[in-house]
Amino acid sequence: MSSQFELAQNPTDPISAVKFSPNTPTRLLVSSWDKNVYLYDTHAEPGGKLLQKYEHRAPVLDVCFGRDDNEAFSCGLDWDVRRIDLTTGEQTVLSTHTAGVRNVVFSIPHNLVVSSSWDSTLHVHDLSNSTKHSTIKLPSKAFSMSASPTKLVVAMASRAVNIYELETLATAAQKASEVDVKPWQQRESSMKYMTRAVACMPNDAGYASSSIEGRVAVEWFDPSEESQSRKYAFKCHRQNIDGQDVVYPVHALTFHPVHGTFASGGGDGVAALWDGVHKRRIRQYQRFPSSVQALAFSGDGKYFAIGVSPGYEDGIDDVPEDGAIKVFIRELSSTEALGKKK
Amino acid sequence: MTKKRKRYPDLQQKLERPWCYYCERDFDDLKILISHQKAKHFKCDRCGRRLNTAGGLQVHMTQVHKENLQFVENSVAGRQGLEVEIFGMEGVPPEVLDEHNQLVTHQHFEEEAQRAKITGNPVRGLLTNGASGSHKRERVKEELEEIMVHVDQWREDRMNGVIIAPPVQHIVAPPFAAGQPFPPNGAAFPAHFGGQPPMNGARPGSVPALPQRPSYGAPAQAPPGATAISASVDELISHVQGATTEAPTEKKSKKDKHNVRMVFNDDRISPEEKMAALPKYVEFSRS
Repeated sequence: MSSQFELAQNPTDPISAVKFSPNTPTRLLVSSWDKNVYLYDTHAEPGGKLLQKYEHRAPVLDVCFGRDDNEAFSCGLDWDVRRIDLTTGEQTVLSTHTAGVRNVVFSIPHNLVVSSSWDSTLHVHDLSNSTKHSTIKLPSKAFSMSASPTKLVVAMASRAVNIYELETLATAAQKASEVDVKPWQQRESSMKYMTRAVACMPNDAGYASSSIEGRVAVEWFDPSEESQSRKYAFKCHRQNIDGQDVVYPVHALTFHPVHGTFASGGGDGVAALWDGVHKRRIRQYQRFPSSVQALAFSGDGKYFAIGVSPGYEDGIDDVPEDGAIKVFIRELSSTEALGKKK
Repeated sequence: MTKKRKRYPDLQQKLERPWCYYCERDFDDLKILISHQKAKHFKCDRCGRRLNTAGGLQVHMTQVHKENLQFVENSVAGRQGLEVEIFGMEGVPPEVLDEHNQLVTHQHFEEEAQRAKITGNPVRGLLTNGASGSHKRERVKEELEEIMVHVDQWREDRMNGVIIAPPVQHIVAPPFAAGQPFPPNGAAFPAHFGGQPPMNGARPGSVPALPQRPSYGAPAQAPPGATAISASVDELISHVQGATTEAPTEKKSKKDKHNVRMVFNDDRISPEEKMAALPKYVEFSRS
């Protein structure tokens, strides 16, 4: 369908993240294992226009927009958390972890950059004083992180999940040292296997998490029993091949900023839209040529970016060289991501 | 009036059900199938208009939205093409129809066998077509003295803890369903019969009216049929208990283990960490 196209200039190695600018719905950042961050204008010309490329020292694991369209933050295997000036291309190191840095998020209301790393720490940077940062110890290696307007959810190894209040983190960031911050809530994943991704609901009510065993769980922040009993998990991204159930990891989750529905992307190369409230699948897209590693909705909810690349799989020693590495952009019709009407 | 639906429809009824070429789902009624196809496969995702066929949708897309439809939404692999013109059950290629019928037939017999195993009832049709009526018990004609002899024999056996099972033809069928004549040699008897042989207390929730199982001491002396019967009784008991408690979940998890392959399975090291350790990337990561 012509409402879906792929970007003309794609990274050469697997994609780790795709992020739309919250302000401009056609401005897209893509981070890749080829050590670059790419900035596109997706609709400047057919196939999108590559505006600029920002080279790093090591593979980049995550990227996000900052205070405006010209600021970005990135992190990766060089242990650094960087600020990138997208107009000049100038990079400044905000802090350095002691292992690879998996995720970086920026909270607009709190003016806070948080990075999570395999060294089992969070670094919080208050941008009004960006030369200093605070370090917060985590119980385990961080695997995924997502922020809602007031909360920050960190999913870790050993199925641990910590929920922080951004307000508390902002206060902690002022101290600019190693601080011991108690999470607002500490949970165990409701799934049996390793947590792969988390994404917070835009309405601040809860979050969705996914595991390596083709499953997605939806939970609510509210600790009351009534809200907790609403949590559920479901199977997805599985395929029956010759009578054998092949179960794929669910690599990516993201919520639609307007409708509150969410999308999941899996190792089977399928992206699906779900209505978390009514527990329904809205639609499932045609299989992509390789695993779906990253997903993003644009700030106005009109575009849907799908980062597709071969990922690590058991029993394969290297990432396949010939697998498709592409970013697809889908223009959503007004009702495409809309859940069931009330 | 629609036909009354049976709980377990027979093969013919299953084969007659209309089904959707694009997603293999089956329906009670052709009308429902058509509205399903219009809603799931022939609906325009731009304006929500429901067309009658894939070709119709394609024309609609080009004329109204200037877009080019390339595949049918929500369809299974291999059935996404726009070349076949489908409307309800019309236009389904004969080979696909054949394939579907075979699948339905296969599933039907599998289900029947499964149900026979669970309920212990004979597979439908086996009793009525006369071909395999051999398991119908022959009428036993015995004089009173002969019966007395059997009873004495049984009493003596019971004292010694021996349980003699009759030859069993159908392991899946329950050895003695209610209403069948009492077995002549008195081998197995209903549990409510006085004076039970020792029981191995492993199943506290044992169900009344089920044949008693031999004690663990017995099998050494029991004829070969006994193990078969005890196996089938075990199965029966577990099925009956399973109806209330754990057996189904147990069965499911077993099935899962057999038939599942996880593409990635590690509970400590994430895919990214493994990827970072590949020779291709390891040189760039700090250490």
